[in-house]
Amino acid sequence: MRKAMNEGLIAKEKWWEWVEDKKDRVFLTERAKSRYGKWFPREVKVVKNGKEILLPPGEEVYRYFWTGEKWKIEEGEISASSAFLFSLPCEARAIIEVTDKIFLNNPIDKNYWLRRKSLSLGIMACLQPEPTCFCSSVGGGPFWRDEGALFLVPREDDIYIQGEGELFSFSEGVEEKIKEEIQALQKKAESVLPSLLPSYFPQELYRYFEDEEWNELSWHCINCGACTFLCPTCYCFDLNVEGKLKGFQLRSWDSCMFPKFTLHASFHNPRPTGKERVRQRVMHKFSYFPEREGNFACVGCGVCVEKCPVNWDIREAIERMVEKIDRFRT
Amino acid sequence: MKNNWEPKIVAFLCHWCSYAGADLAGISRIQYPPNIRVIRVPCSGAVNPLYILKALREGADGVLVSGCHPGDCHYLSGNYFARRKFFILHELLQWVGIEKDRVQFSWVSASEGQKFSQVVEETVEKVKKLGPAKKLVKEFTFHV
Amino acid sequence: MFEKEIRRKSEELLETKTVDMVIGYTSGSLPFQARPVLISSPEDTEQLVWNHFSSPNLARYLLPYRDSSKKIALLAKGCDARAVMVLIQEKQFPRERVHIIGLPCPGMISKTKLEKELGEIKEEDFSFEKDTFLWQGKKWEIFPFLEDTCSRCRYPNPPLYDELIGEKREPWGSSSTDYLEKINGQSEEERWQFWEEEFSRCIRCYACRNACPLCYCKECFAESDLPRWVSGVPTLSDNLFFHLGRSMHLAGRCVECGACERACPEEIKIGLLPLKVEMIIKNNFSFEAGLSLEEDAPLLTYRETDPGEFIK
Repeated sequence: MRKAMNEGLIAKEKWWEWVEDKKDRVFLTERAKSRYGKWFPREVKVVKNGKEILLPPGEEVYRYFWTGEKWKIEEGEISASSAFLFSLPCEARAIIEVTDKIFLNNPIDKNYWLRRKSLSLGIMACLQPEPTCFCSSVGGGPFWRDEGALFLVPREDDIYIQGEGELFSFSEGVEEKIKEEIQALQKKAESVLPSLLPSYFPQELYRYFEDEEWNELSWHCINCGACTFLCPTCYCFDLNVEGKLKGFQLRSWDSCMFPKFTLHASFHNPRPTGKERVRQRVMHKFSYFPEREGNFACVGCGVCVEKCPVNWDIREAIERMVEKIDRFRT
Repeated sequence: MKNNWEPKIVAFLCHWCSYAGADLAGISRIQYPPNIRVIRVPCSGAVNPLYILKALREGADGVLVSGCHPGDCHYLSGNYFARRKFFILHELLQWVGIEKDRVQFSWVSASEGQKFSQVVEETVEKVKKLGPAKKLVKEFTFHV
Repeated sequence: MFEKEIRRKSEELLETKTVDMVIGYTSGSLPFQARPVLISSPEDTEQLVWNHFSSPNLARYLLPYRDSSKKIALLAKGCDARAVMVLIQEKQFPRERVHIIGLPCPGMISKTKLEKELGEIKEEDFSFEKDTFLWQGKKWEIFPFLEDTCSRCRYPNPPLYDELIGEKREPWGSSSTDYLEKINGQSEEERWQFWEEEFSRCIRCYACRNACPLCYCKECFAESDLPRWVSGVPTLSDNLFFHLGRSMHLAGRCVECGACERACPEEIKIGLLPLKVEMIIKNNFSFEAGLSLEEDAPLLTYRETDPGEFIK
């Protein structure tokens, strides 16, 4: 049974009291800081996105050493104290609808789980999407919210908060006028975003696996790892053991764009050139993952589009494929 | 505690001259500090700049590269190329902020056992003054 | 600015089958950005653009065609042409198969600097000339808005070309050492702090390496397993190892195009390291890469009088 949703307005002073008290345990994403930085103390830690906390760029999985008679293995320690992450809806959605599904399903990744269960999410509504955003095309939206997270809409002198649980107690409800105001803000934000991808896209895209369009689309990509490392949903990692008689196993970020990503022990590489890798990235996010899990593995945040050194645009790639599919679909 | 610290210095010695020079120092029973770990290479020109960086990464407090005198290289010109390469590397490391005396170079010939021991003494003294290496040493725990 | 001539010339080259394809720039999907494009038919040459935002180094796009037999026309700025020259010298690409359309470079403008100074901007409100632009009725000098890599450029004119479109120009930068001295002149501790801060941001995405026309090893040392030089984790020491190692591998080959710095998503001043190496080589061995096809690479030659005081 769904818990009752608490909603109300928090005055600026009460908010500051609450956040000052917790400021050592509060994380803010870069984008949330650029929009709502004035609502948080300066000492709050800034991260690129949730991935940096839950799946850090490098961590020890286990340590080992030779005792003289046998190998001893110790699991790496995870220090995870309870914390808050305030982010935009796309970044929170990346955690809840993509990485959680990968790391908290069979098998459960212990390190991720330890960090995740002590992390509470706060979604700050996106009032002004960037020109590179397309969250509503992939199932999200600028006012997307989830049961498991707080939802905040900062206003002039107060914040509208919606969330379950006892973090904030509201004595009165919210006036209709304010609810309408918030709905109007939502409509305004949604109006600048491109429209939804057709529901048949995941299955149909797979039929165009061998299409020549991929040659043209992938030509100018330089196959660095910038998009994958900055993407809040990309979760691929590499495991390496370092050391001889004593050492450790490291988990670090890996990218499907790197040439050794699919190098087999036989030295055969099924994705030898950039074309196969670019195709793989689009297919994974828009066909394989949605077929398995029900939603796209892309949250439309647009960071990859903003930061790509050669302006490779994933929106163009999917637009061209949608066009092709629509042209030949019966 | 700090007074007991002894630096660990990785020494790349070219087989034909410097390594033989070190050998001669040993045979002549010349005493010199035991801080160096010798790695024998065929020629100072065969020392890849990456070896030096790797030694610093793995925790070496100092690196010494030693080869034949210019003109005496067994492979004729290996040490000339080494001279150019290491000049560039040394300037680059200094510019980035790595202490000048962490990485040192010398020409020691096969008959210069005495000189070799002096070179090692000088190297160890300079590195001792700098203290343990911290800047390029690898670290791993990476928690946010 | 010469876009029509470029399109006409490319069309001509394709129609007469002098070349099989043209590699140039086309407008990007975001304002103030251009992207590399491959044109194989004369009708498509309308897509070509040439402006202050055409910043990726196109010589890098010759590399996939090393083993093919196609003849390629390349739109090359000063630095791009130098890179092509080094590729030719290193026998990575035959001179006969590349047709260089030289374009004296007006300098690439940094979108970040424009936004910082002028606030929210729209591309339609701008009108760019060679060294100035018009915005909101006022004429602005381009120099303060140039990318750092371009404000220190000393060779905007291609040293090698099959034809030149545009007028040769004076370089913006007089001597790159002024730029480096700002960091050089400080104390060792200050320099270290500067680099520590820069490289803590590095996520080791290798955008710098992949954007560089001269990083063409089939297996980069950073991705090697046997031997394993660096781990995959972007710790400060591994990041420094990678960047110092890369700068040493580019010694005597880097053409100071700055594509690495412009590619970096974290806006780290990556280009300063290979630049420092090139300055060391210029000041001590009197060599600059990519200016002449006859000169030997500095690490393949030596002189009896090379500096050697640092050796005991």
